[in-house]
Amino acid sequence: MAVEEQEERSPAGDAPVLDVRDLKMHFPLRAGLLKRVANYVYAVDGVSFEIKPGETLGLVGESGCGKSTVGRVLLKLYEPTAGEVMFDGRNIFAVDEAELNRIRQRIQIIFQDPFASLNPRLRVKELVGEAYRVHTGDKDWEKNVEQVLTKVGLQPEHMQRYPHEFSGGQRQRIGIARALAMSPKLIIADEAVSALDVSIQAQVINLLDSLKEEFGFSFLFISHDLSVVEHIADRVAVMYLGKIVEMASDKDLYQTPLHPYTEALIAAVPRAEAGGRARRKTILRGDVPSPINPPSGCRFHTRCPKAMDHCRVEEPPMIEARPDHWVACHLHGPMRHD
Amino acid sequence: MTIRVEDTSDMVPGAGEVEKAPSKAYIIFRKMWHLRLGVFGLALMAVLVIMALFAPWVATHDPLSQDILERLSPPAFMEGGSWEHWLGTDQLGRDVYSRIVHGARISLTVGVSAVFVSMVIGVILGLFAGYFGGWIDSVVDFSVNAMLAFPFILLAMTLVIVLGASMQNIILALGLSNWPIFARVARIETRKLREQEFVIAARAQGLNHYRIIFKHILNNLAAATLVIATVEVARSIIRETFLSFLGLGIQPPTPSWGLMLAEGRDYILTVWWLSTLPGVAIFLACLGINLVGDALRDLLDPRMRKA
Repeated sequence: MAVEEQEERSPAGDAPVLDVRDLKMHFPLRAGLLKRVANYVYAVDGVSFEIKPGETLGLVGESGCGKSTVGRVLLKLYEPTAGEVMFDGRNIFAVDEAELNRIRQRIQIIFQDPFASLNPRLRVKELVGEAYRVHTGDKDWEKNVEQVLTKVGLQPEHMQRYPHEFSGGQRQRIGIARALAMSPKLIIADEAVSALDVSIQAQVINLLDSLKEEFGFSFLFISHDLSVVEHIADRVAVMYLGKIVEMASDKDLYQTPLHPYTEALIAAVPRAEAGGRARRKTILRGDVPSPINPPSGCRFHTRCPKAMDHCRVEEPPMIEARPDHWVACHLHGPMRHD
Repeated sequence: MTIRVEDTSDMVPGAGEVEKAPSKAYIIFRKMWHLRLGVFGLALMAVLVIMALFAPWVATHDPLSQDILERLSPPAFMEGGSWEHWLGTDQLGRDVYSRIVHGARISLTVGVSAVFVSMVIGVILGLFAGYFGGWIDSVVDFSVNAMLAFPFILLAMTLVIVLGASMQNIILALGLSNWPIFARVARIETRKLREQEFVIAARAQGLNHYRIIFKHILNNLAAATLVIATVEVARSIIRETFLSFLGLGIQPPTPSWGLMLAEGRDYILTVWWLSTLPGVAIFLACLGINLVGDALRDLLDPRMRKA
């Protein structure tokens, strides 16, 4: 049914489901007796991307780079500093509360921590079915709950139980069922498998994969784990200190990374290749600089093995270095030929 | 690579293999048993509640009927006492035991109702202040501090004087002067809960603020509020006693423990048991309620709970 709707709504075919333009989220830091704004945390500082119908975009980066903030600010869970988020042709940041809540039904989030994200005092039935019941007024809402529970590999009998009666993997399935119950057009998975055991991770990822195929929703998959993203994403965006530094198709990005940061991230992924060639490893030194005082110029220059002088001064623009392969780095920019 | 959905069913506990979890009431009772003091408190509270609910049947006499010839007779355990009035009679010849039993009804009604009033006001204000923050929070926070800075009993007395001394008004006065403690706890808990992922999840689902406040957050305030409410019932009973003792509470001839205390005061040197017995009743009732409150806190505190 979701597929039919998409065809009706987007005669243009490839019109993006979600179009994020120059999104900024600066959290004020208050200090002193008068609680004056002393500084800002530049958590997200000018991020743009789009997601097409049925597409999975992976958003990767180290912890603290602002990727989770992106996921949350998309739904206006924080008051954004600047930017636009177009969903279905509407700017989420410009609509009123009631309309916002209607849009939120079509975009669902799966959270990282399956313990913190389920209200401990509500039964599974309520956890999964509440939003559906409230928004649709469907008297037969329990049927919908049964259906989605079955879809995620749980049983209808589990409806009457409380979250603490389940294991971590099962709780995450409840979280997925909750998202699925609204038949969303877009699902945001915020580190959805990071809190799980490796063996359970694989099961949940396969589950997400098959659900995506079955329901055809678009997917924003936020993770710090490149191997997980490689498995599930069609396109990948790499974030560093509040900015996207490289964005390309899954294959291009992993095989020919252009940005030194992406290179380093990929090199850091442990690979079990028997007799694999020892790749020349780029190892990053130091920690991620504070997003309160981000470095001047290219934000990565403090840790970049290939940093040049003008990287410290000028911020590299995002350019299409190859077809559909975007990167923000002076190594690939027009400046290189100067 | 792809694991089919069916294959995962073995990691899901089936209906048959898992023992049915024991009921919550049973778990609480079992833990209570380990807390002997809690059980003792529960027993005291049970006596109090039975006395209050079934006063006409538990009492041996009409608490209001006077018998001037039998006045000031001592309890059965003292010389000259009789089992006819086993806790003796007061200055008007009324049966002290029956008056204490009926007094339990008054005390419990006032205590529970007053706490209910303050709980409703306090929790609602605390929820809104904690959830929305901003100016609502400032106003509530200021009112709480202002109320707490004001001597409680003075406030309650003023209210009773303004409203007039009747049972409803005493409940109202106690309720209106005691909400800050509930507001404070509800506000702080709500502030913590507001940042919890499950609340953010509810917002992300497009649920409106009122549903989130009164369902998702209130649900999680129940434990903390219940503990405070229990202890506050005991404190309200003492406050009612105090107001009645001062003549601002329950009016004669209604049997109230505070009033009995006050009436016995004139005879304290000779007929000491007249004011001592209601005093003992107040002590035991509040002790019982407080012990139960302590036990509840231990049981419901998430840090002490073992899932």
